[in-house]
Amino acid sequence: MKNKVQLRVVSIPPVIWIVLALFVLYSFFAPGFFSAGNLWNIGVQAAPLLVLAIGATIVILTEGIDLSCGIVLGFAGVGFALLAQRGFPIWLAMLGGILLAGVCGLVNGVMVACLHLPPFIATLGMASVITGAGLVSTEGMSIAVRDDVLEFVSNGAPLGIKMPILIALLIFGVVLFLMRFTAFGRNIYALGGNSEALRLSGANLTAAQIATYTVAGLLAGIAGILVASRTASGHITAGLGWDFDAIAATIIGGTSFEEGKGGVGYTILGVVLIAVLRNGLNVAGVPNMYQFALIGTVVLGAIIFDILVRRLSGAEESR
Amino acid sequence: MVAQAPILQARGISKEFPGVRALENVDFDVYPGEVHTLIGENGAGKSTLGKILMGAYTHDSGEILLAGKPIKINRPVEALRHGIGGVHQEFMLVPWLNVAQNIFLNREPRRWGIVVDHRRMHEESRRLLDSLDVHIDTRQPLKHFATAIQQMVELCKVMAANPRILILDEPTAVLTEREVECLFKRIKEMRAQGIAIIFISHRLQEIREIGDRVTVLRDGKNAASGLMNDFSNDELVRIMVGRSISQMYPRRRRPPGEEALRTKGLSVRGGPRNVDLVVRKGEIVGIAGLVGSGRTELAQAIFGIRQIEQGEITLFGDKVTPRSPAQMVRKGVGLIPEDRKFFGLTLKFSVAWNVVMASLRLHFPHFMVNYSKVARLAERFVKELRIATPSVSRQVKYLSGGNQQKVVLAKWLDTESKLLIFDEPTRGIDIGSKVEIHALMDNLVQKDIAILMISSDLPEVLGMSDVVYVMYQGQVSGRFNHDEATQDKVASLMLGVSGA
Amino acid sequence: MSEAAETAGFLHQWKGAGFKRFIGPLLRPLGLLALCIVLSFLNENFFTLKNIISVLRQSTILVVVAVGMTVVILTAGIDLSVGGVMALVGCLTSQLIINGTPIVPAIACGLALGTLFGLLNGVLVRIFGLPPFVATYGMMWIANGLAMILMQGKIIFGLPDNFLWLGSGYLSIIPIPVILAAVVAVAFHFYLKKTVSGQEIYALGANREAARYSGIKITKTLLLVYSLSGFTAAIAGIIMTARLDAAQEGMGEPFMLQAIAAAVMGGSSLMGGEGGIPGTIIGALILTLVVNGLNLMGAPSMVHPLVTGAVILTAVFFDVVTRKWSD
Repeated sequence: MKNKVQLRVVSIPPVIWIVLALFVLYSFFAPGFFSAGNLWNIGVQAAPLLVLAIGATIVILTEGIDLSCGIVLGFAGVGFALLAQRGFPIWLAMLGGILLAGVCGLVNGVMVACLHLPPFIATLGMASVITGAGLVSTEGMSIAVRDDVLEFVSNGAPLGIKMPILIALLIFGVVLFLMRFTAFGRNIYALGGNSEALRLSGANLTAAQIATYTVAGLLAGIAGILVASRTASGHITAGLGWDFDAIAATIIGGTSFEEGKGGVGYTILGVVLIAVLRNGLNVAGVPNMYQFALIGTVVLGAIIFDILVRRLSGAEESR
Repeated sequence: MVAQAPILQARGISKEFPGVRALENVDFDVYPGEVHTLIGENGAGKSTLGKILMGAYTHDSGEILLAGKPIKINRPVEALRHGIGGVHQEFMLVPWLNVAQNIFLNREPRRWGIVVDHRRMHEESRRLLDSLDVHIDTRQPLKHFATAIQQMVELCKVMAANPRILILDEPTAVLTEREVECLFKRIKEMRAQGIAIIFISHRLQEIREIGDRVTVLRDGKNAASGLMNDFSNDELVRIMVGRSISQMYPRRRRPPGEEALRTKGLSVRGGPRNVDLVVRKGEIVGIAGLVGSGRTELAQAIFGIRQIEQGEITLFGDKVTPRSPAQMVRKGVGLIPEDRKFFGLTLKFSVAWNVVMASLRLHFPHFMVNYSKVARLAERFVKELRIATPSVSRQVKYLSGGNQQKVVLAKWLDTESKLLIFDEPTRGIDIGSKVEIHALMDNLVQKDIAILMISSDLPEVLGMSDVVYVMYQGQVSGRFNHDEATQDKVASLMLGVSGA
Repeated sequence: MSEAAETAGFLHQWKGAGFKRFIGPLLRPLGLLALCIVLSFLNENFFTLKNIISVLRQSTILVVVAVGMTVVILTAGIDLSVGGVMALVGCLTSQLIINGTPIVPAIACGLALGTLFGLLNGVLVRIFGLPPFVATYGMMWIANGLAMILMQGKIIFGLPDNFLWLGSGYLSIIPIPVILAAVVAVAFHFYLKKTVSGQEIYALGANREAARYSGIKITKTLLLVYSLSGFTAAIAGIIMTARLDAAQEGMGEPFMLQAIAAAVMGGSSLMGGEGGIPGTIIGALILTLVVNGLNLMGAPSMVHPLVTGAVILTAVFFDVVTRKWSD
């Protein structure tokens, strides 16, 4: 009986409270926040982050981490821009960029699942390698892309909803479905914590892990294309700092490095929070440099808060 | 009994682990529609044989025949495909997935081939659980449920695969009487359906109730086999133990000294409640009980690893609140843990470093480590405890189980602890080393050290202890002096049966 | 030599596993030597005293950070915030000096700040149970953010000569930074190998639970370890500022990955319990020489991250593989 009550308290993610608190704060300090234009703006800016964060979430659920997703995002844009520059049709160039990102994810997956490298160092090393590759292939410059399609992808509004938001929500729906209704999703949940039980039940853990990182790579690629469409260019640093936001959104949303807690559904809340936070700070005139420190503190604070709540409610054993 | 061919046969099975020969040339078979019980004392090899048959281990030599045809099983899922399902004490479950997901792990009912059909999964799970008289919400994560329920879920997981052969390893260890009744009812139903059941246990009352045939293993070898009714309980005990008690358990009784440890009303988080316990210098106090009765948690609480919720502990006359092992070690307490490989030793390090690990600050109060001194200290203990190792710089992981345990013991002797807690001191150790460790324990007691010994090996408890406590489901259910304690009295309290 | 002493000699190395015990310790110095030989073809002046000193000086910052990183890695942890801490401390110290604070108190402040950051890392990891890479990753962003706030996008230069002496001064022919790095390295090596606390770090890393059950104080040790990493990052940041006569946010960025690479190449396993300072120094020298070589070959600086990344992946791969062989 006691367990049930406690469960309910914990299961309303703290994120919601924080977002509400922010809304209240903004109504005082950043009234410009609530304009329709601004709100659409938030959505469009948050769309690539949502896609990226979904990838971060599934990796974190397997108790891994992808510290390269920001760089892969930029790399996808670079690939896309280079292909477009070489005369490939625009859709093909986009696909190429996404697949390039998928390959990066695949390599990450192989390093983690087959070579057994710790995920943080594998993806960190990969980020460095890709940064170098990205710089060399573009000679450090930004590559511009001109095409009407880009305008559609970044600004078009079929059904009245801006395209990037539509794409992001579509992907969100697809991944949600995969997580709940397929073996792929179940494997991701079970993998967290090196599930021996899953291995003994005959599932191929190696393939599952590789698939997870590959999908995360593809998602980073899609996010990269969204960003490249908006900036009409490709540069390796396009996603700099986004890995932080993606991981932050995941953790604030409620997914933790503990076994099986959280999921893609929670992450969308985290993304909303981060996007709202950044936008509100921008509208209020807080310079970008403060934002990193602030958000870092908020994220760590959220994690600590979550841990304390669980400790106090007796859900965890001491040490 | 129907005279047909056995459905599963094991011939000449041998299995070795580093330092221990678990099984030697063992034969075993089971017929459809019978319950064949496999018994033996702790370390006899029955669990190992069970795990080999269900695919959790692979055997080194010998063969397994299914309906007369030889098969090779490398993983439990392969065994399941052959129709062999097993439930043993290390559950193959994912704690944070819900009950239904666990039962149908990797075998979820699908719609259109890909989409998991959650509704059907939960319906089926509930049906399986109801047949065991377990009524729970299958949507809850598994970890919310007690170990007994988890075991039932594990059983359902196996049953969901419709096995022809079912292997149960100590299934009643964590069950209440009522739950055991339900389980037996289900087993009888399955037997009537023609399923072959292998029931591994060391509880004689139970196997007598449920078993058609019995096989006894001792020291990893076949000791006896036949119809259940052909053996009396006494005969079975004699075959199981096979040697005189005094040889195994050298004990020189002496009058105990002052109190080393006293607990009053001790309640520990996640474990025992209201425990009153006294251990005096120069005596061995044994705690008997089933797996899950809270003994290890009690030891952990005394050692500062687990939080104490209520009650008090008095150590050598002073009240103390254990907060960390570091604190308790300084007060002269040592713990030889149940899982020595993970908690007692650092396998990568040498014998020498393991021996001194707990007493570094004792030997080097000025913080400067002297490697020669470390070597000398270690060599002293190697000689004294007769640890079989070519040198003290050999990595501990290469030593046999018995010698590893001696290294753990050496570590605590080096700290000059006055109270030693042994949790399963001779589990997984060959007979020769067992005797040696018992002799060492006796020596320690002669030197006025107090020993608290947790053991699931009933003969060991009865043979070594001056005082025996029995724990059942987290409470102390009885206390006996050495002379009063008999196997029947202690066993019945262990099983929760009150009165003689 | 007495039997005990002989055994003691073995005990020195007996923290690692088979392959690493014999071949490993030989492989690294040989690799370094091979690299030196290769580079001497690219640069005919390679083996001159002047060049050797120059290389040593180039490696000092990395050596200092890597030493602190080694200690953290020994406990199976990691400190991703060192780059941020380097920048933050460098910026803070130079700000203080520019605004009139005397040099010694300014440096003391910087060192204290770095150590405090390290301590916070330790608290997050131990008290709150965060995985080290998460905790230090978050702190990295906080440190970078604070550095950004401090600098407001500007760069500080024109620091007083007394301060710059730390980075470009000489004691006879040896540059000061080299002496500083040597002192740090020797001190830490001594600490790890010869003190009880150092040995407890190894035990903690090799098997935390066994160490705990043996009465080793886990919390105290972990807090100390992360504080030390912050401390060395602070030293490195100050040396860097003194060397470049410049401080700006983000200046410590490449060192994080390089420090990990140096430690892992030097034999410290990411899974804890193995490794040490001498190996790390060799790893740092190898990395410095690799960058040196790339520059000599005229490779653009854009290539550096590629090479560093490849090097670290290879090093970690070998670490994991050889660990498997001996388990």
